[in-house]
Amino acid sequence: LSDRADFRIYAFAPASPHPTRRGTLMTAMIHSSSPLRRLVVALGLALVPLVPGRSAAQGAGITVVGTGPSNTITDVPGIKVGHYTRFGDGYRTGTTVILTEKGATGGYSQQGGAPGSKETDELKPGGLQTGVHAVVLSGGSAYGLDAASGVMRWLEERGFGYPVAGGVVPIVPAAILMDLGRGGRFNARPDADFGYQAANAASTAPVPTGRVGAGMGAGWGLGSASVKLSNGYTVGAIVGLNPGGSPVDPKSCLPYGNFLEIGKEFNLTAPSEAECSAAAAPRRTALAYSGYDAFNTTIALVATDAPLDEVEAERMAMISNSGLARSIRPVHNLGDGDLVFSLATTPATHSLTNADLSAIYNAAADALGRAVVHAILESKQVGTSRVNYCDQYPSACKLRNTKPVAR
Amino acid sequence: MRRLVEVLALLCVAARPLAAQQGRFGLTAVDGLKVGQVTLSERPTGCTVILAEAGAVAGVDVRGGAPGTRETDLLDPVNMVQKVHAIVLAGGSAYGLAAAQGTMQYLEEHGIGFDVGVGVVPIVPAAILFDLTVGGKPGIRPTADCGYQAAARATTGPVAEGSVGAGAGATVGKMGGPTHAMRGGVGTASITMPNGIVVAALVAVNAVGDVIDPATGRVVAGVRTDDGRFADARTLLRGGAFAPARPPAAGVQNTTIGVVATNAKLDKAQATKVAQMAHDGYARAISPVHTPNDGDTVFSLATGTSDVPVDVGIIGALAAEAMADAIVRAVRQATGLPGIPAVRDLPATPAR
Repeated sequence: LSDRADFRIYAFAPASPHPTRRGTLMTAMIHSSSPLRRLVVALGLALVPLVPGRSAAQGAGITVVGTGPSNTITDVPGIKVGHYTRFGDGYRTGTTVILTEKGATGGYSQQGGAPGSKETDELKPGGLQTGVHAVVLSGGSAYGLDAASGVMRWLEERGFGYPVAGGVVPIVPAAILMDLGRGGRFNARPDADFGYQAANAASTAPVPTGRVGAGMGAGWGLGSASVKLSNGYTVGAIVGLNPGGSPVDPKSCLPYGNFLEIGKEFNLTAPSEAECSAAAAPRRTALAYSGYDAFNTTIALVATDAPLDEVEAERMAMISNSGLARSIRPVHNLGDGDLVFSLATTPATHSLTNADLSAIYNAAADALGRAVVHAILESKQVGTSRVNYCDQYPSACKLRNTKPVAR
Repeated sequence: MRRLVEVLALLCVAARPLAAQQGRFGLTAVDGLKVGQVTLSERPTGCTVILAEAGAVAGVDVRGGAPGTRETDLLDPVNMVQKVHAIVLAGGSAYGLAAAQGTMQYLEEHGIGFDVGVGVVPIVPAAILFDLTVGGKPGIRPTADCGYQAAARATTGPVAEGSVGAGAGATVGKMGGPTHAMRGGVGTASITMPNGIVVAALVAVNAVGDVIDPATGRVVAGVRTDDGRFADARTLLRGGAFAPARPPAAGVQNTTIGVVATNAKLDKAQATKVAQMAHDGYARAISPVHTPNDGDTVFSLATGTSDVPVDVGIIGALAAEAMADAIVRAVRQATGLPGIPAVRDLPATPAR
């Protein structure tokens, strides 16, 4: 009896508001062992082709529908992004703000060896649930944490934040990457005004990528990506790409993360041997695991409109670090402060199944890996920065859309 | 049992004169540290900066449920940077984290920081406490200027205690809401061992709970009844005064933040252990403590100026002792504000 009760819970538990809960049902059925269950599984499988809107019936049943409309993190409902970028007069740096001014559920996972962060303890599960009103990704090393003060000011002026007697306290976690001096002047770096301006620029429009915001001074710029899942949820990622390692495979000269491609979002072909071998020498050095310097750190954020609680948000951030592991080698080095934030823009309802959660987490990891590739492809050469990937390997990019990449 | 308590109390008292003989008591009894405080008396609030200009190995332990912190991930022992150059404690809730920016500026101007070849990046972890509702002017809070001025004023001299610096706007005993609270503040204490090892604490006490004297178990400062006596939060809790439908009225206006320091040589993992054990000082001197509405955080610093071999467990145990001592000193030296009395404002009733 308890066996059947268990089955009923799986099969008939109230579904979350999103329409396609059937993957969950399928999972329950596939894991069944009793004859009755197997019968229902068979029936369920037989019915699958009749279920409208279902693209595939494999594994957990939750599949990728495609990228979101802009293939950037603002495809996630509730997410706004703004950049403030400064170039010239000794500057080549910037700040990116992910704005959830009405409050989102946040988490983080910090795996690099040299982090610079702010308000991350507040994200750990178990404490007061304040919501997260913005997240700051910035250049400027530890000095750049000041950008978060400007975002707090912007939010306070508009009455956004955790309400307290007499006002609000905006909760604005932040992480920085090391780009000091890349514009020529060591003290030309983001301050509170950078954060304020970035918050002011925030919108739900497709996220400008490449040499903008936190990507301006980063080794490989800034990238973003999104994915729509068959369970109705959208997942997105944004990354300021400044690793000690490399996101390009020295053997093929293709990005490590190329295999994560959805559709033809990258549209790369293997570069010619001539182009690849010409660039080989410096890349071999990079692979020798000896390229330590302090000028690193990849900072990222993944987001979803699924109703995650703070524990689930933390797990999404944790698993998303695998997206960096798949697209960057070596990764999480001592000189990298790699840190991934996560945000869920819908209040937790505890209606998600483990199948939903697994799908969302892995989609986030893959979206982050894809965002890394977008950073590589969309970052033009600016000042002393690295040459754009497609300029270095024209044969790899011959099929890419000729429309300008900068949006 | 009473005899044991007396002996322990005597030992605690006996430890003090050693430091006093050297004319040094409190956090600055630890070689290599300076303390500077700025009080913004117009509200009041303020900030307290602990400078370790030569760098000190550091750790942190965050136990409360509503922390506001900066650069604490860096202190994880698995991470690369080993030493910090300052710790900033500030009022002003999350806004007050800006004070650390001013301390960074001061340190950079003096060439102090993690050397990145083309310049320095000062490592300045920070924690804040919530005091915005005290004083009626929530717009006044520590800014970068507070952190800069406090760093500039930092000395190896005695540390001012009571309603100063990060503790200027602090309150305790808020289980009955702000109207029944008392004043918290800054306290410091140190223990100097015969072998020259010093273990010290500095704390800004702003707990939702009551402050308890560990030597007597009695309330020193805490939630008051309508007629001004100690209600004793422990009695209220056990008596069922609070329920999910009627939680303590304290909101988020809490958080006790502190630093323990030693002149011993510790590595980052050991420093982390010391920070963890120092929370036992919170547990002995504050009740209830580490609630979801407290952001209770303890940093630890090891300046390593002494070569005396140490046992990290002993340093941690002494850190807890010094911390409990500092907490009690903080409220005893606080000064009252309109509607929020301090211990010194209460009639002297030995029965307490």
